[in-house]
Amino acid sequence: MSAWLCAIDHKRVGILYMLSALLFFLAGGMEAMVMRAQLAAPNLKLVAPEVYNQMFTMHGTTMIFLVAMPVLTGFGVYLVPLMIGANEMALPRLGALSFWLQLFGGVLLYISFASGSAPDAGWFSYAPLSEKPFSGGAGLDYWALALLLITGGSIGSAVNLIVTIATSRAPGMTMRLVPLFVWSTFITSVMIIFALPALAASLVMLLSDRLLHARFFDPAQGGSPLLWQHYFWIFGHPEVYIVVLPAFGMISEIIPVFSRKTIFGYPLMATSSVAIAFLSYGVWAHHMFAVALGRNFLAVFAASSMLIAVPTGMKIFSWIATMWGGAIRFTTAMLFAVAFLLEFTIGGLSGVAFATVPVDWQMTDTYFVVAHIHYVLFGGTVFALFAGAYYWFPKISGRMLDESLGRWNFWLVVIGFNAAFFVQHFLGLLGMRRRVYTYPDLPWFGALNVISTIGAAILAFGILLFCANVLMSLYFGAPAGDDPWNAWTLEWAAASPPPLENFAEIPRVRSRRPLWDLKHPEAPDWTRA
Amino acid sequence: MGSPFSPHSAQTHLIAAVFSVVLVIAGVIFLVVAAGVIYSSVRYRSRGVTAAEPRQVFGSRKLEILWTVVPLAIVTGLFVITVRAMVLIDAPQESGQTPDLVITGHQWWWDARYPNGALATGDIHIPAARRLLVRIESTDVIHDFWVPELARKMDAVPGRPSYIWLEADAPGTYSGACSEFCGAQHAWMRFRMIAEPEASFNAWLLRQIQPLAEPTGAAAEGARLFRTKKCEDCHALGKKGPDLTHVATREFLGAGISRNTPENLALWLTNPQAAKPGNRMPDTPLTANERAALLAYLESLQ
Amino acid sequence: MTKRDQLGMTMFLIAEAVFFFLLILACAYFHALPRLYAPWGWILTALLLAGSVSIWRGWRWGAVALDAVFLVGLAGTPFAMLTAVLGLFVLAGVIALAVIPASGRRALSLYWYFFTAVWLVIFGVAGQV
Repeated sequence: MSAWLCAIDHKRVGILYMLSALLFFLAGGMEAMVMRAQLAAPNLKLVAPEVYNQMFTMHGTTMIFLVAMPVLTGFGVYLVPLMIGANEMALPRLGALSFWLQLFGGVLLYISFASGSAPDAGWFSYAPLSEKPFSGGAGLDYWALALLLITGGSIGSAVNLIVTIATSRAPGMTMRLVPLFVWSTFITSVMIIFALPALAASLVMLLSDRLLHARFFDPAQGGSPLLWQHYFWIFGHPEVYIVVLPAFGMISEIIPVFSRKTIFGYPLMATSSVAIAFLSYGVWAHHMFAVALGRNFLAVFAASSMLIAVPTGMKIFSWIATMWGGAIRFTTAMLFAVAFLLEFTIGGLSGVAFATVPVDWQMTDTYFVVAHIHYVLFGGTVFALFAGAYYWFPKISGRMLDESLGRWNFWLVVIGFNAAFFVQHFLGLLGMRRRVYTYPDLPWFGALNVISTIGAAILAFGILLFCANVLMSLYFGAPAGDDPWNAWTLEWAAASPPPLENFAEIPRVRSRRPLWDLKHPEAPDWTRA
Repeated sequence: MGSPFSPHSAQTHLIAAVFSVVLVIAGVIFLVVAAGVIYSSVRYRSRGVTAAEPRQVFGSRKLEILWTVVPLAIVTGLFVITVRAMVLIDAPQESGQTPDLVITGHQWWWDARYPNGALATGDIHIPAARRLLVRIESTDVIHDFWVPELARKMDAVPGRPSYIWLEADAPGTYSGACSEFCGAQHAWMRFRMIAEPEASFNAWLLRQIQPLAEPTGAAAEGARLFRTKKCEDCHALGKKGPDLTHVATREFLGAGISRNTPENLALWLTNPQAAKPGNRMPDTPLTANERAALLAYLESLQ
Repeated sequence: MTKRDQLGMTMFLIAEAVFFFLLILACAYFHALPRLYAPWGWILTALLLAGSVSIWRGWRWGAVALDAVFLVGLAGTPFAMLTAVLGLFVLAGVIALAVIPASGRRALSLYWYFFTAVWLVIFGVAGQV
């Protein structure tokens, strides 16, 4: 026990991140199920309006800050040293501190339930609704303090990952040769350094308003509610890519291995991530298209928001080109990766619809947005995470996840997810607004909502099956061996699970696929270009 | 609730057209991606265990240029469409022109003020087939004015009024609602736009500013209680609660949460928190007689 | 080792720079900047500058003492959110310098220079009374 509490080894810290994220994922999932139950039919009164509002606020905050960011950080902390041929993170104590800050933030957020007033102003807590006169309870103070701690933890882990990737690479591994997961983690970490401080600044001002009688966001006293929106989304939109880019990185590792082909267009894959990172700082106002900000201002943000679809599209086509001509093995990991391509494309395309300002003027803050963000964050990030979990679990635990349970897991998640969220596009088109605790009995509303609720239940079952698979496989799974997938990156050269010191001898790297070079001395990658 | 795809104004017609273009483009792109994914999944599925690895392809300059340039061309086209549509849909924000209507969001209802001093709460009347310049305001938090069939949505930001074009090409009733989360009862912040032919709209508008007949009988007692029980401290223009001058003509109570029946109205008098949980109306102790008198008065407010 | 510490500290300070830039911008926009009485502002600035020089010359306790006096002086100025947040960071720096072994001090000195610079910006834009 104390070995885990005091752990500074990157593998233990990484596992702690992943486990805490899994627990919060179940909590956030339960909040979602409360919402879906309440919305199963028109005019239901299962929960009070305030409770419903707490549910979606906690669900959003949990899934972004306590699930998506920590689990991706966890994968990063676990895998990056292994992938770059290092034995530890560059700053191991900072790594542990970052995790505990993050976890304490999460615990503080959930203590707000015990205080009797959980935050209920939504995950972006627009001022002045989040100000004292309209949200008098302590919920938003918990929310802001918890997010400040989490911000500190996120910046800490980002610093650590940057320094590790910059200074701890195996001899011969230039930045042009690091695996794409490492690349995307590096870019994500740089984005965190530039984006999270905007959230911290917003939160400090919100707390000043709420606790010290400042007036940053209160229009009645000369403040500006729009300042909150600008600052929050300067953080908030890069944040979307912060929780998507590492998922892209995972897909870029998994598709090649199961297609038996190297990634198609590595340089373009890396540079498109950099392009996404740069552009993501210039798109924040597309969350504010329904505010009268001036036509030219909006047009600039429409342009940048549409432009960001281009590097994203390049990635999708490069992944397909990687599969093309391969010898594809449909393991559960590959199934999730292929499903990711389709689900994420839907989310990306509805994103382009929102960049088209007049469409946004109708569809923003409807269920069309709810569908869009879930296709990006669940269909994108979570599908990639499932793929990553099936792919790397053997390395982490030394045992294989069960493949037949894995298929059930996969099909239940695919069917449940699409049933739950695809119909929400139609609900949005019919005029159903997001964040309503109930709705009148309008044509189709009841039918589509009950489909969504049934889908959510199937999805929940699929996720529980995953948890069961993890628990069972930890004890009964088939032994994995060092390299069960016949893969090419350095983590598969270490034992499964890797010992405290990952590599007895640090390997020398000459190409992007060091293990391919070992396995194919007749045609190593480094002879090609 | 109306759909953006049942447009009833020039502006929403244009939005529906732009949206259709986007959906078609998105549909085609999705089909291309899906075809690529499914074809390679089926065609290149590994059959049996073969030791030999497939041919390693590291990239293709030509293909990469293709899928940079084609998407770039598509979004450039979309951008042009977007900007042209924006110019036609969006109302000038600083024209100095007097608005035809001032619509204000409150936690949690809407009202509208007309140039002649008339006030409408919940059911907002407009003349059909006339483009109106509407000013959107908020008295407390951020709301969002949305009538999908008639106009773009527009945030109501406190201290920062904004303007939209509002138009209904035919008489009819169009539903609207607040579309920015604004607190406990965001769900019930609905309203109706009632578009009428010019003549009947003008008649309605005049009726709103004519004084009502003096109440008689129980209603007169109710009118007295309305003052002495301090109902009017909140229920008046510019105060915390919705104005009740013509409450009996409304179809709904509580911005859509219940139909305007005597029983539902009585519930607001006995237990407002049961009528609409979280709303700002406090309990006011009333005897059964007082309640009946107030109810009679409110029902008389045509 | 020190190279990694310094790179890490630099990254952290970039994040802090974004944070303070946005805070100072908002405070300037809303006229919520701190107000400093004429001699005090200069005295506080001199203390921080002297603290930075001390750490540069390797006088650890001199730097701790100078910045501790700065914090006491800062507590005497009219309360402002910006100076309060800065004060917390300086306090953390003082504690860190007092407890961290010599190997970590190269990176820590960057932290000190940075917050001296932030103070100079705040002092530059603050209202003088």
